[in-house]
Amino acid sequence: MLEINQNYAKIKDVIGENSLNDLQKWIRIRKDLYLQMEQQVRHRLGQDTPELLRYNKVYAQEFQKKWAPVSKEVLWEQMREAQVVLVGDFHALHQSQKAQLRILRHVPPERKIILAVEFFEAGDQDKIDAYLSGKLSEREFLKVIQWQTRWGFPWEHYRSLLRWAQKRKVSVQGLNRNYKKRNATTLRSRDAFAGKKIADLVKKNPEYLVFVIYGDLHLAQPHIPAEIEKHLGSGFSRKILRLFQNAERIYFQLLQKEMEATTDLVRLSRNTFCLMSVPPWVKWQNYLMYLERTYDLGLVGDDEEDEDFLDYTDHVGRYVQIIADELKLAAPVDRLSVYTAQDAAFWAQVREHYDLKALRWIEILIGEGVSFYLPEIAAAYLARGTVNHAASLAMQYIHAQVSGQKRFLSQPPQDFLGMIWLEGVTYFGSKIINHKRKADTLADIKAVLSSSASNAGRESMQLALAQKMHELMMITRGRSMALSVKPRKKWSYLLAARLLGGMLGERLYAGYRKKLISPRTLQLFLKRDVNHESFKVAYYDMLEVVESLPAPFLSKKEKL
Amino acid sequence: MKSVWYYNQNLKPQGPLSLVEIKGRIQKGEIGPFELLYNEQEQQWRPAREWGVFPESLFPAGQVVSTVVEELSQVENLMEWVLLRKLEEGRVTQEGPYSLRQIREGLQKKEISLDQYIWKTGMTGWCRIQDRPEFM
Repeated sequence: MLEINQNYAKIKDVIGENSLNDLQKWIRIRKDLYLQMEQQVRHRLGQDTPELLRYNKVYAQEFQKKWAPVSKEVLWEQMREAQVVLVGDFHALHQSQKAQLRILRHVPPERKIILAVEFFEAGDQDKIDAYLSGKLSEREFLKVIQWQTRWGFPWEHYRSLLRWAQKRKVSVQGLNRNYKKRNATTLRSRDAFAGKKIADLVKKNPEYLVFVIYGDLHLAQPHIPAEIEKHLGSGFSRKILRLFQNAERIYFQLLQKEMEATTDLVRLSRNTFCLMSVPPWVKWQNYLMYLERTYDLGLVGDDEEDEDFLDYTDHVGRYVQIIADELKLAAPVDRLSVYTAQDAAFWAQVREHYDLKALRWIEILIGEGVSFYLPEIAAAYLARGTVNHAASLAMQYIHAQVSGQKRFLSQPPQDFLGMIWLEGVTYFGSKIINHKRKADTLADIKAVLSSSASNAGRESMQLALAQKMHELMMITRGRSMALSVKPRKKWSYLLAARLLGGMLGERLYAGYRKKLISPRTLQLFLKRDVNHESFKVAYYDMLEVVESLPAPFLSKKEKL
Repeated sequence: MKSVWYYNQNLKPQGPLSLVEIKGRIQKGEIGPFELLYNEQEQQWRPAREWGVFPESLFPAGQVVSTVVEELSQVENLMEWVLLRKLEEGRVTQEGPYSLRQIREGLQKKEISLDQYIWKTGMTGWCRIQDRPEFM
């Protein structure tokens, strides 16, 4: 694994080899996680050819430059001067496409746009046009362009980009060229093909902004940008804006300066930027999960239902080890079994162990896409194969092991405090893996409420506020009072617990990172059994400590 | 009804406030008609408009509303709305004036969101777009 070693050396170079203080340990754990993920991806993809290594090296040189954190406004201002915007894509990472959409939405409505994308082939242009104009259904379209075999990354990642284009009546142009073999030679031919196609679009539509979505590697100056300039002249480089995504080298430099949590965008040159939306290991873990899904599908045929038989135990187990090491807790993974919705063994165990009431609650959780751990049968249910779900589940497992939790919390209102605490702890643990994760804030809940007629949202807000009022009275006046809200839906309790728990978890994480809470105190907190009758008293004791910690965080809506 | 009130800011109860104080905040647009308010005697959180003690006209959201159909088409193009936009680090800027039609178009294109604040002459304070009848 030549490249891994090179990367390792590069990062070591960035962070230096001084004696390991806490920050260095923090960085080392994350660096190991990233290298582990990348190594596993490489293991599945096979050894890079020397040609491909050279191609990657050219890309890596882009990030040797000096950079500075900048605000989104700087990017918007620079975009106003650009005629071509090249935005990087990491195909298996949904956050990558979400970021592209956020940027597209910021293009002023009066500006005419053409969206040119790698994920469609130029030869399919008539089919793309037919789909966008409604002459082909989504299902028919994906079939005729052979999405699954030719591109293969989840269509759901890209769907919203197409929806946006349809709504804004923006033309979408395929930039890719079909090749039987995908190697470094074809990479360069594809760059040449895409460069010419982009140049043609600029020539034919000089008043339009050509917004290009293409793999991050291709955005290196000697790749697609150089090909565009071959046709439009070197002076055109000033009209090209490049926006890379999630460069590992920059991330570890930010980590060294403890700026990773507050920096979303850096500028590498006048018209070159890099968006920092997820830590590197999240990016590679997503890729790994994608590859494993694809590999398993390849083994069993084209039946999509078989996706659910994938075993995610290793993925979740890896996070269990990392979080437990970080918090110096003992949580052996040999008792961990992770299941997904279609797993018959899971259902058989659940039916055998739980009464109808608990079964109904479990069904609701599954229906709402919640990941959870059932201590009675030592079974972990993973709703979605994403890093945040896997990390949350890992923390639930750790908490159950450390606290000795024996009973699954399924009986609100008596379990309500335990549910809030568990949500908070789970969220805290998942932040150790993905510190860029954002909790739902009141603004996010209100945004959901404004777009939905559901009563559950209002009920959960009333419940959350009633609980906060209760806490206020307990802490300031030492006075206990009953919760005056009785939601009609049990689900409202979980929504309220998630809202309060997310805020609690953010605060706990901020305090932990700033060393405002000692590891010893944190360990004592995590050992509290949510099933124990004394938990209600313990909850308010812990809350008093957590409430004294700072909680700076943004709403999801404020992300770039 | 004993007039001891609380409102909430990012899910944190704020108070206690008297009825006069809470009315003042409503008038300034700090509390919208759908914001949950707590009354100590009732021990309940309910949307402000549902308490029955705050008239619609107290909320900027309910002020200067055109109800006559003929008027509606006339005011649609009046450049009378000022929009508040959040910048980074908690800073805000005022934009406009915009017409009703322009705000609606902005909402449709998702360049403006329903939780942004707007104001026009005659209103005693800012109000969220989603609370104005013109945008419901």
